[in-house]
Amino acid sequence: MTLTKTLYEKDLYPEIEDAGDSDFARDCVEIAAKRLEKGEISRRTFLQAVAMLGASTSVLTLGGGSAKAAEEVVVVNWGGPAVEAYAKAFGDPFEKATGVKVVIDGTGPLGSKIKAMVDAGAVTWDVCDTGTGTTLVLEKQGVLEPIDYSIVDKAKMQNIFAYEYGCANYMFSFILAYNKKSVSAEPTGWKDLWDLEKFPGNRTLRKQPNGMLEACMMAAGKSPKDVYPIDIDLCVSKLKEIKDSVIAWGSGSQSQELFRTGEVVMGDIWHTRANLLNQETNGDVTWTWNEGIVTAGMWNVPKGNPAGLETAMKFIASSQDPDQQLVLFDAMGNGPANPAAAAKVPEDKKYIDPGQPENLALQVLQNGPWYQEDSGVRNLTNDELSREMWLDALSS
Amino acid sequence: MPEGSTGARSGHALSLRNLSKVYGSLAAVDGVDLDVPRGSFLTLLGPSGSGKTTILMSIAGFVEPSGGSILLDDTDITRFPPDKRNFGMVFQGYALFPHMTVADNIWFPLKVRGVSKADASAKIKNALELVQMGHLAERYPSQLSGGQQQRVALARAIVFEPDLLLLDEPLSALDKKLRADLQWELKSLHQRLGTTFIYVTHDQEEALSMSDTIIILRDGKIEQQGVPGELYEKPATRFVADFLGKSNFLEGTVGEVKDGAFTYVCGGQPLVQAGAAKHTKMSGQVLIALRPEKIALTTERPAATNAVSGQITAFNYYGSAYHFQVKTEALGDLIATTPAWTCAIEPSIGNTIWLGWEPDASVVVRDR
Amino acid sequence: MHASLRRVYWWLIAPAVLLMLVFYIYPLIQVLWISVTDPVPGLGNYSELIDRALIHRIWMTTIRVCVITTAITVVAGYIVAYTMAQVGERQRTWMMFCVLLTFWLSVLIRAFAWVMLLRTQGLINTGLQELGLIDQPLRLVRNEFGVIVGMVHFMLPLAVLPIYSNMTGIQERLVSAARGLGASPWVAFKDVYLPLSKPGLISATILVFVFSLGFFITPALLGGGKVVMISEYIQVSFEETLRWGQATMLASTLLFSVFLSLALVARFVDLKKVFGAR
Repeated sequence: MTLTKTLYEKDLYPEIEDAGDSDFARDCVEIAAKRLEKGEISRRTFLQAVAMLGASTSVLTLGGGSAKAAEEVVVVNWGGPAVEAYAKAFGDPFEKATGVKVVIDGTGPLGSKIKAMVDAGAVTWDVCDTGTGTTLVLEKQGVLEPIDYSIVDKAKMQNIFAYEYGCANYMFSFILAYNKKSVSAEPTGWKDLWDLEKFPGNRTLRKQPNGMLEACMMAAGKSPKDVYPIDIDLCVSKLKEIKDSVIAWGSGSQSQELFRTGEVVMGDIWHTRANLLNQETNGDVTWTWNEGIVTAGMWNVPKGNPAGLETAMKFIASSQDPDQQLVLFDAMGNGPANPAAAAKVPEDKKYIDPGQPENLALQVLQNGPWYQEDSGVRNLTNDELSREMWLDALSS
Repeated sequence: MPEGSTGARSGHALSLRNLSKVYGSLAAVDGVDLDVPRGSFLTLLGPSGSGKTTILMSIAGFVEPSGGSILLDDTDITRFPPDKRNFGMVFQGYALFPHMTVADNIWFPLKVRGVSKADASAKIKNALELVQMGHLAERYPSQLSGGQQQRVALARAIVFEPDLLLLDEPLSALDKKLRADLQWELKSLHQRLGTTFIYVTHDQEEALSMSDTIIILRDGKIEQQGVPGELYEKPATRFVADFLGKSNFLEGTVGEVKDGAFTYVCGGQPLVQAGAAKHTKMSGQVLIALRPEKIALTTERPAATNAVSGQITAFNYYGSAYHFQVKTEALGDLIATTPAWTCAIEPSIGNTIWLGWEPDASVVVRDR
Repeated sequence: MHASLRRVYWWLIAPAVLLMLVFYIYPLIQVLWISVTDPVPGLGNYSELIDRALIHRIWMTTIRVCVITTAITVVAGYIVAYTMAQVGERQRTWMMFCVLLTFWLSVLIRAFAWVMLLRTQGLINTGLQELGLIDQPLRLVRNEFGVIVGMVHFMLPLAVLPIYSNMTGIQERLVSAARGLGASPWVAFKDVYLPLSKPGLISATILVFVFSLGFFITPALLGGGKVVMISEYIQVSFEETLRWGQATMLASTLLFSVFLSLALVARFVDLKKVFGAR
């Protein structure tokens, strides 16, 4: 917390949160908030969400560790419309079934906050909505409880997203988005993103390697099933090939802005942002699921969570219900994690669901555990090493 | 362009021809013609707003005249920038460079003329000795008293042997005693250097004590000019008589005009004035200025041609002199001064005394 | 009486001192502590300063960007402040308004405005192309050049204000005096005005440089992800990779380098004077 004191620019402008990098989960909230602004979500819903947020904050300030035991479970997400959406999708059904109150806290489960809580022995959160990257980082820090797969059903998610210390909450994809107006032909895969002659112009890649390394591997000629294990050196050299034409994105909204201003003609971005661009450009910006990289939003349980491990696991298990996941998909656009939900997605929405069998068939499922493996360099995991090397290459 | 040698005859003459400066609709200087003789000490004296500083700044080159010209000897320097005029200037409040030592301040005008510090050292030393500041060369201005700063400013202004030395109220920030001392020094400096000095002040004592010529300014115009004694003794107007020293003013109606004198009646009191009844108005009204020190004070009626009696209403004792306020029946309130050690009357309030003066003690002035 | 009064004064400032201790000094010590204990005790984190090419690169980028930004900002700020000190009251008010105006715009809006101006199809590139001055659009943004443009823009008021406030204290008469003593306008400026405005110039330099060191939003937005400065990397280490030892090490070094630059400056100037303590 003290660290931010040196970030004067940030002190002067508290609204600049957006300028940094964001995780997908946080980005979904941002998208939903914009929809609210445009009237695509009702104001009543939003007010309820705000009220809910207020209630949860008071719980946070008053609540000790033990007093509330299993009477309630605190679920932390990225605030705004997500508070209401999560309450409707997961909170109400769980409360009805078990009698345990669900408090949705919109504080934003930053990895650093979870670590700080656990380190200080003052954990007030039970279930957190994070990403694969955060899960792996937190796992290495040893601040998460393992997922109890006797309660949570592995079959109700893509097996690869059933991590030891986290499991899929929803799915989303890194896809190849492009502006039809700026390319001579439709690109079909990552090789095209690397083809500066056929597709001149700038492209955008993420500042973090997660979701980019896979694209590099495929661009280097690996078939989707041979993406793992990833060769980080190869990926970095692939990045260097086109680096001069790359503008990197940190947050989802930045990736959208780059297409909007015409600064890039294509890029590796989240499908939700591509969908928004598609709507606002009347189809000029579109995307292909081909060679997309599917990844997941994750449920985490901090070590020593106040409601107890079992209650937390039961909540996660409850959230695996396809109908509940469809409610979230409807409100926020998060693709259902449970394969059984795919068939229930309305016909006109199937094209934005990464989990539809025909979309999945074109994509690669991200292999989280690879990121977790030891890289053999300075005791770093592949995740840590690739972050460093990626940033180094990008900034060199 | 410094002239090499100093001496009484090396000064330069300066002339102003119909000089004017207009700010908006206000004429700060209004058609001034002036000749400053070689090597003279000329003072521009006037109240604030009289245009004296504007004239000085025009001469220095900081103010661009709206009209007229400035001639140095025979060169028209009206459009010369300040740095091309080679005039020394002493500013009000000294304007010493705070980031330089005393020696460096004095070196500055030589430095900008391409003289290295080594080559300048003799001149710097000389200038400092001239103002008795030799021992403080390495101090900074902030470490000096006001009088010392003024001396440094002076040294800086003369070290490059300027054609002209301009002084803008240089003593105004100093206390009275120091001011008196520096008046002596300035005057002796002027005599030693022979440089033409143009001095601006609103202090009539300074003007009287140092100047060869005083120019009295009023509303951007020259009211009267002359040598100090002449101006003091023969003020032409009420303004001059009042501004330079103090005066009693007697307004009367001219009566009989005789050879070299005339009578006038003031408040029913007949009085005699030497000289011609000039500046007399249609109604026969004339204005007489009478200096307080020219009135003789006695307990008995004096033999003087003009005599009135009155009561002391107030007095001040100055050690060397008494100043009295006397209420008279015919002439109203008058002020009179007398050396304390020869004071012939008992200084006490309510005391009735006599005031007497001869016809040539007072002068006829224009009422303006 | 005196001693007891003094005690009262101490009590009066006690809350502020306490606040500093609790909310500033204590966390600072924590930061230093973490930097030598996480993940293992020792100076391992600090050895990364020597060993790791990425950290070298980030530091070099930071210092290069900050030095260039500071130099340009201070020179430009000096010119603006000097003009402000010379013009009339009316123009001065307008200039001050314009200088402060940028303060009121959010950093995002400013960065976005620069993107719109500087991008390939932006106003400047299309303008230059239409004038026939260039064939290919210049790369003006999403690189270090764009970052410096944005940072200079951000920092300009921070340079103008101290320089201008210093200049208002310089007696115009001193420059006149110099001119009257024979100095050309340039020499009068160089030998008199410039040295007298040095305190303002130095405090602006310190202010801008120290502020620049902490920048990361503008570099992140205008650098196209390719200009990574130390603060951004601290944020990544702190919030994303949770390598707090590394983050605190970098933060401590950043703080140390601020002190170091102050100490360097203090060798040449009286800082108390610069910051108005005397």
